[in-house]
Amino acid sequence: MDPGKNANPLVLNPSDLPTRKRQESSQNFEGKNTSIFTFQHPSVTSDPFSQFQESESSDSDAESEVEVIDEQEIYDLVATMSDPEHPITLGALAVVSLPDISIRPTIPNRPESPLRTVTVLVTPTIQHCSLATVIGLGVRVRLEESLPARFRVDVRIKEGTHSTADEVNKQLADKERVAAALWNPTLQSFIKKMLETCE
Amino acid sequence: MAAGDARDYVLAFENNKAEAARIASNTAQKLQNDETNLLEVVKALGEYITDDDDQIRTRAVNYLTAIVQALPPRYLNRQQIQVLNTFLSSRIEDGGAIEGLSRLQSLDRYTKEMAQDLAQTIFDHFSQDLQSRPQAGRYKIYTLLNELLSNHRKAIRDMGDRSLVGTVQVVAGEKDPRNLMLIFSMLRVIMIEWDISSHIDRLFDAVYAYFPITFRPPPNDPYGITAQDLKDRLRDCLSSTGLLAPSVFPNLLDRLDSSSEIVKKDVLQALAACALNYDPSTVSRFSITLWDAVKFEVLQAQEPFLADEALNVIKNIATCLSKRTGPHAPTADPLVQYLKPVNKECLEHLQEPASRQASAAGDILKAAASATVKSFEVVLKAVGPAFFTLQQSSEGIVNQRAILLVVNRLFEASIDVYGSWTVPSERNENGQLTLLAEFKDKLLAIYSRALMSTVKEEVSYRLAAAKGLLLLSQMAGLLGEDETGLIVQHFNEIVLDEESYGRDELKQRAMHALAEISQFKPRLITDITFPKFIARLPDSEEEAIKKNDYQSVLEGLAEISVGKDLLDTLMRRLLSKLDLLIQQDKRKDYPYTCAVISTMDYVLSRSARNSDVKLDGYIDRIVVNLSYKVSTAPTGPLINETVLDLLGRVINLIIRRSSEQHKEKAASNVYHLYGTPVAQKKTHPLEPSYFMFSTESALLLSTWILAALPRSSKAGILSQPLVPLVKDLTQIAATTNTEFVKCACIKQIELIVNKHITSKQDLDEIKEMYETAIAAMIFQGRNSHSNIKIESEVRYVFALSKALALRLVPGTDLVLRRLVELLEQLPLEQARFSALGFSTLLADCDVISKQNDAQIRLLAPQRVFQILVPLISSKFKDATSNQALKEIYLIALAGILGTVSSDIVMPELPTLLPLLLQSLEISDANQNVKIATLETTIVVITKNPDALIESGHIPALLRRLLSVATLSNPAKLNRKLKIEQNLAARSMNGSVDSHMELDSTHLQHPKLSPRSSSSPKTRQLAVRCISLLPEHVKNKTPNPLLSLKKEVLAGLVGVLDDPRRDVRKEAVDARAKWLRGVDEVDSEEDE
Repeated sequence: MDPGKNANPLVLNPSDLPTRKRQESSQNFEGKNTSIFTFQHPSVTSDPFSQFQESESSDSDAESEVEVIDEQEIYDLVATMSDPEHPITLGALAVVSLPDISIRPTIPNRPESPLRTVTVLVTPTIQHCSLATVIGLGVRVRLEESLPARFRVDVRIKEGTHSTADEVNKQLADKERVAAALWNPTLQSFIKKMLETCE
Repeated sequence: MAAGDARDYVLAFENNKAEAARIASNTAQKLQNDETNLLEVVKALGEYITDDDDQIRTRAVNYLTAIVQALPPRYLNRQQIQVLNTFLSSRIEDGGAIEGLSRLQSLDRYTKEMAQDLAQTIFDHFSQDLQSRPQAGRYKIYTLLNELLSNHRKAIRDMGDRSLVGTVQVVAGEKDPRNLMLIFSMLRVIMIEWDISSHIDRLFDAVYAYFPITFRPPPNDPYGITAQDLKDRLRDCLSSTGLLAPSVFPNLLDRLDSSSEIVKKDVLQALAACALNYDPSTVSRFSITLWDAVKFEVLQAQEPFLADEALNVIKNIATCLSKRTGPHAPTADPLVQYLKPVNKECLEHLQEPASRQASAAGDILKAAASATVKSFEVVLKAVGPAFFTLQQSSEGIVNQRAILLVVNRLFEASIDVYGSWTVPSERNENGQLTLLAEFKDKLLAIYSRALMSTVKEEVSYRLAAAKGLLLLSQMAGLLGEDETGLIVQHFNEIVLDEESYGRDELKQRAMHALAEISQFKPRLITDITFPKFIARLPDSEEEAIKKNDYQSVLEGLAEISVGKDLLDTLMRRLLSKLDLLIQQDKRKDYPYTCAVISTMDYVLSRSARNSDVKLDGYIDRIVVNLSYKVSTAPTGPLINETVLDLLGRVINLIIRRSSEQHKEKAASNVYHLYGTPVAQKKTHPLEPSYFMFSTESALLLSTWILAALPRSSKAGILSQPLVPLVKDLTQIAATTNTEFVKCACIKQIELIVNKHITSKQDLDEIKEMYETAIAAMIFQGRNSHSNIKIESEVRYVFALSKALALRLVPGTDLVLRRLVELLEQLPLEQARFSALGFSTLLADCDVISKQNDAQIRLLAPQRVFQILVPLISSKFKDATSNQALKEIYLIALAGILGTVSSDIVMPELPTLLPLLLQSLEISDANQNVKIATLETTIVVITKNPDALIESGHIPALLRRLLSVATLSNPAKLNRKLKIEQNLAARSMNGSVDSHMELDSTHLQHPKLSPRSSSSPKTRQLAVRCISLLPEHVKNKTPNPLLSLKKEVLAGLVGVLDDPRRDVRKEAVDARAKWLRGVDEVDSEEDE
């Protein structure tokens, strides 16, 4: 068996992974999402004439509510990607975790600028994981295609979790090398496979 | 004479098949009438049958075959059959001899010797060069051989090796799927019934040559044979006899290294079939080898479906080996020997319980244990004690949880093998108690502690424990009442007493567990859970606000009250609660009271799903009693519209499900509400004799009672003249100040017109009233201020037209035409409002419904749609420059589109598409139109993408969708940011062209620059349309999306910064789909 492969990693249960609590969401008026069944609404409220007039106001009201892109959202983007060697998600393998994601203004002394930098620290399942670069690359690709252009993406191997972390980080940070790597058909198919499970 | 027929046949055969067939059946007829005999017929063929010309000989043989086929089954005697059999056998390669022989062998008088002769003939003639013949010819030969095998199996079997070798030689090298289907079934018969001991290799080679099947049926295959059909037959062959095992197992195991997942799956399925069908002594020889090979597919699983197949192999081996009950010493038992390494290896993996392989080991143990009672016992004895040691020595919740999960797998196996309270297992014929009983107390202690003494943050650990406890309680005969009762108490506590945490998965799991338990231990639920839950229900709205958990308590009660007894108890308790609640004082709203009534509605509807259930028992307690209370209530909850509406639903359901007698009584009480007619009190100036309650709001209840009456009912209120009643209701609707009373009256008019007005005269009068109402609206519109409210009038005319259109009265088209024409005759504001009514026409309605016996003709939606849509679209075209009017038509159209099924919409698509595109452009913030349009667009994309492609509107559609999806808010996203985004988008796509293209589109469509008017829902739907396109528009050359890819991807970048999360998420998905789902057909070349 390939020595750089961890055939027997620890797996977390989906119930224990961090999720956005329903209550925080803007759909607060729907209440907690624990209903086993939903009560029927009386017909009066489904009247098209009255509904029409109401909905215009309530919709524009809701518009004023802005949900900013936060760490949990970044986590949700990458946690459902799957590991290239197991049919298990990066979240369940704890390759990515919520505390290892941060969002900061790109220009620290000008926080009013819209530019942001997302940092994601990747924890390979074993010290000498041969696919650490591929995972890092996959995370990078996923974020770059999913975040608005004012976000800078910074993907690195978490300190002390990989034997050749520096080497890998250098590669991940180098725009030219990332771009070149993405032309490689083998890598392309790896990354495509990782992204298939995204929800 | 016979000679003449033969000549005629040979001559006619070439040009006139029908004539030839007639001649043959004519001859057959003559034979039956003794006008000629078989000898003469054959003699007459003499010269043709020896002719040098193949074709002539063929015709002669065909003639004979045709005659044989035309003769009745019992005509030929044995001797004649013998002669014909020999004759046709000697001509077997000519023409229709095979068909003739096929007919002969089906006759009762066909003997064993003849069958053997014929089989030998086939082997002699066709074992060399059969494959050089065309497929159809080979098929005939295989069919004949197959018929011999099924009709004369003993005869052929008695030929022994001759038939075995002969058959294998004849079928060798066959490749056609239809032929192979026959061949596999013949070979299987031989392998099972012949003595094959000296020909094992020969037979193995004959079938294994086809493994694995890689057949792919051609498109539009007329024979409909799939690869799966072939695989199934081949697998049946391979697993037919254990004699093949020495060849089959090693060869299949070699194939397990294949890189193709499909091949691996075929191998595993074949192994599973062999393990199950071979005899135990054979399987026993290979069991360990198989385990060593197959385990990797589970422990190192790449694909879950392969792991499942592999587990099946493991299980089938155990099933097979359990069959053997020989006089073995326990250690020499093949099952024990097989399971020994399995248990050992699994235990090794379990030493690190949270690892992935430990979980796989759990799967393996479950598979092995769930085979038979015997295998369960072997597994449990080996691993059971080890679990407790492991559980004590492992540290950390993660490990503890993993152990519970594995043990849960064994619990599942126990239920599979020994059965549950509700489903007995067929594998446990003696009704044995599960061996887990030995560990019962320990298990209960560990699981209860895990569930109840762990902090609430450890959701998955507690979930595992809850699942295990439920499984334990389900096992037949395992737990006593008190033990299950304890589990029920745990679940009660979780549902009722624990604080909400996260997604409340544990509460839901506990609730479902209680519902499960109520199915096999209803008494425990009635005794323990019911009182606890009921005690939690507040007695007033004030109290409910303080406690605020009544919703989940009610849900819980509803969920566990499935059986009839539990249902009755629940209803009784809820009704006494309701008695308290309706005495409350006036408030703004009554959410808790509504929740209680909703719960009644829910549980009654659920039990009414079974069509036999009658609800007469609730008539007095609910219908009579509560209706009366409503009729006399001066204030409080019983005049609240929501409460009344919900109560009406409950009452409606009960009346519908009660006896005729109760329905008649209801008919007399629509407006009396079961009150005494003496206590009259006028509440309405116009009131005729039939209204008699203290407040108008009680009319809401009347609507539901009226709705419950069957169409045929002529009692009570329905025995009176109905047109005056309609007029009265119209009057009340026009004069009341209360919105919902107005709606209730109009609904009642709808009900009466749709269900109960029958005579033509009455119908004509109603139509006249309709015309008058429309005329009045137009008149009023012309002569008064345009902003005057016309709401009642609009509701009224739409209610009438709906009632008439659904029953498709004669003149429905005129009725509907009036509605469309009305739009241009009203002042704009009023027309805008009226246009909304079109969504009511075909909308589902709980009052006018099939359940309530409304007259809804099957074709009504289609007819209404076909009348309205062409009308509206032509009006739309006529209103060339009047943008406001155009928009009004689009509102009307959106209303209809939203309420009909897509099958009805699709045929009209060519007319509709341009309108849909226009409606996306409406500048005004009318979101409902856009939402209806986008929802229709989604249906078009998913159900009928071809129509969209053919229309050529895809680029226009995409640009509009993008502009609807993009939110441009100058305050948030300033221009500078925009430029930055464009730059970044370019660098991401590695192309400068996208920028150019983007610019040029903006130039072409100056009006389509992003606007800010879309609501979040609209934006989300627009992006969803975009994201659906790639998967539904594909396999097209050229792909119409390809040229738009860059533009769409760049456009979506803007949506990625939407202030709403749901919209962003949709955009992320859309971009992923466009990035990887839209490709050149041969992308290789392009790179």
